[in-house]
Amino acid sequence: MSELNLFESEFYGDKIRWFIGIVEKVDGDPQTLGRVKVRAFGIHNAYISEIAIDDLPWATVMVPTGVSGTGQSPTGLQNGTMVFGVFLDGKHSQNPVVLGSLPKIESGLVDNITPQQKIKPGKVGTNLGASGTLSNTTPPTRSGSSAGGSGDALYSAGINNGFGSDAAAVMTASIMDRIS
Amino acid sequence: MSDRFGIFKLQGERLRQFYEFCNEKSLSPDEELTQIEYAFYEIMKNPSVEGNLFRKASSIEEAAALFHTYVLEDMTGYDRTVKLAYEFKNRYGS
Repeated sequence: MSELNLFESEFYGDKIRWFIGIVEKVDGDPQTLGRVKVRAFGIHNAYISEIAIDDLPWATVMVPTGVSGTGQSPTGLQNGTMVFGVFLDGKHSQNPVVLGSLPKIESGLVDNITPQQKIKPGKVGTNLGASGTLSNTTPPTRSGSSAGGSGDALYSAGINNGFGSDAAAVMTASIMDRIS
Repeated sequence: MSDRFGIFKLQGERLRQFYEFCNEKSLSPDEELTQIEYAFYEIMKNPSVEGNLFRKASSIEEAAALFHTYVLEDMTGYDRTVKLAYEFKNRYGS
């Protein structure tokens, strides 16, 4: 049994709990192990005011054999990446391990983003991607995806279409509140 | 209220225009993303929802009031919108 009592069983794997979530933070691991903060769907509330990023457990990221994992993080994960993993401590869900990332279908809300806009360090993304914008001259179009939304993408879309920050925040809040 | 549709509770002429928007773009009106796209479209293109006033609102409270008045047509949840908007602004604003 772990000294920290993180595992329910001597036989790890008996009571694991899998999860899909969004990477919220990729830097600042106090142990410099390349761990990340992940907000797991259905487990962690979507609102920072209710579960702050810093309150999320650090998730160890599984790396391929042969990669030491020392020094600068080799995981390549970025904020907004959708990941799959397991909680080694099952229902307690405080000891997550990320096993891999999942490709996402970007919506039309992010069709026009540039690579520079796509990555917005320190911000939170959900299933639309890490950031996004709408065209300045035409309504949004899309390539097709399931319903869902990214607060970051929506906020950026508003800003990039001439919304003030207050309007963009209200638009984002209203939409995210209705689709969460 | 049962005749209102979608996450923005569209009805009447706005609902008709929404369906027209979906038909033109071959989008499913039932998808939330379609409804979100239409909300952006409406604010950007349709002066009847006071889009310019909303976009240039000088405070979250003003923006929320305009959004609830002209987009949602319902002030229910105004306080929650304001609270969440402050949260999102702090979260995403630079």
